[in-house]
Amino acid sequence: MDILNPIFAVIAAIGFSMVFKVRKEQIAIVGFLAFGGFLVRDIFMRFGFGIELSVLAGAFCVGLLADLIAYKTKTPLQMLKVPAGIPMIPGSLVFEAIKNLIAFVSSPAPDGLKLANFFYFGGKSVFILAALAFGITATSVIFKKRQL
Amino acid sequence: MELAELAEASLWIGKEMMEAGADSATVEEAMLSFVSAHGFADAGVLVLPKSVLITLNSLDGFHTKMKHIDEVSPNFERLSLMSEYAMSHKNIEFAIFQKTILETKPPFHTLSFVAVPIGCAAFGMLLGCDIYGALAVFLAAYLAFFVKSRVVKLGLSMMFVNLICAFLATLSAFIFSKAFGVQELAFAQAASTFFLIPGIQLINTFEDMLKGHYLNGSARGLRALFLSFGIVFGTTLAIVAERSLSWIF
Repeated sequence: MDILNPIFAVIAAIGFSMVFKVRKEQIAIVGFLAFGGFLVRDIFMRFGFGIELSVLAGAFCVGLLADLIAYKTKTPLQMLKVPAGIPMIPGSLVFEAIKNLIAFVSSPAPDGLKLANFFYFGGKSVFILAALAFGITATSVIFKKRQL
Repeated sequence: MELAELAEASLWIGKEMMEAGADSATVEEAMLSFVSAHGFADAGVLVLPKSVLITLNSLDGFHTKMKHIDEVSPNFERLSLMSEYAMSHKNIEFAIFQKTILETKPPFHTLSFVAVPIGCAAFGMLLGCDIYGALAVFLAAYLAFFVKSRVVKLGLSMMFVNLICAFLATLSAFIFSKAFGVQELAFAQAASTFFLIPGIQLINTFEDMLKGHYLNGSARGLRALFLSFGIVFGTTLAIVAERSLSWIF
């Protein structure tokens, strides 16, 4: 199933492009960026890097490629970067954090494990989100002069 | 173009770009490029979270004008067209361009009702759902996306819209997952709210901060936080509501 992950990321990114009303001509580029980003993320994870570092690398790859393409095609960067980076959002970790918080609050007596799980999943989600957002936006600062 | 007309036109470009989801630096750049193409290289632009201002300097003095920015409604096609027009100094009369933009319908309006749930299902597969889980995600996301498209028209706050849709998506993902015998319930429920994520706000927060627009970045960050609260609260309510359905499943 791992081999198919970048393909699923492409489908998810294209679905998200439609929420943002991306131009028809740019859909294929968004798909390509999502594929590249997720592939880099998966490769990093296979080499034993943590999820946070892997997402940072994948997001940086998306940002870098988007910057180059936006420069060539004179397109606003967000249009390419945002939908392509979204599939790397840690949805299941956020959900686990919420579930553990509800379980902790509604349990008859305080349960340390549930609270620890909430902080563990919540903290991990925050780190991954920060890595994703920083990785995607960092390149536009590095290549500040080269934008539109 | 007259001084007042030019100020009005550039402010319209800035306002529309901000509402379509542009970051502050891109808006500033586009507005300055537009006025300098019309012979006003000496101009100042201020982009704030809820308004844009421009000052055009001429030999007779200066002209300052401000425009209010409404709710952000992502439309990257519009953003792209506006940016292209402002930056490439196209020789099209502004009034004609404005009319074209306002009359252009957003792309994929009908297709998005199928494509967005498929995207959510693919996200579910990425998280670890099986094919039945993906089907449950598709149905739940379709329902929530359809409801969102109706609720948005009522003019409710986006936080409240997110709350309603997250509640509906999470609860229906639970029901469909149980009906199809899905094992990884949490993955299906998490994936069904995928389309509600305030992606533009999150990315623009960092984009603005890194480019020195701290005020705009903070405002966007707060907005992203509130929109996310809507999703979290809706999901929480749905998880609590699941318990009352335990007699069925």
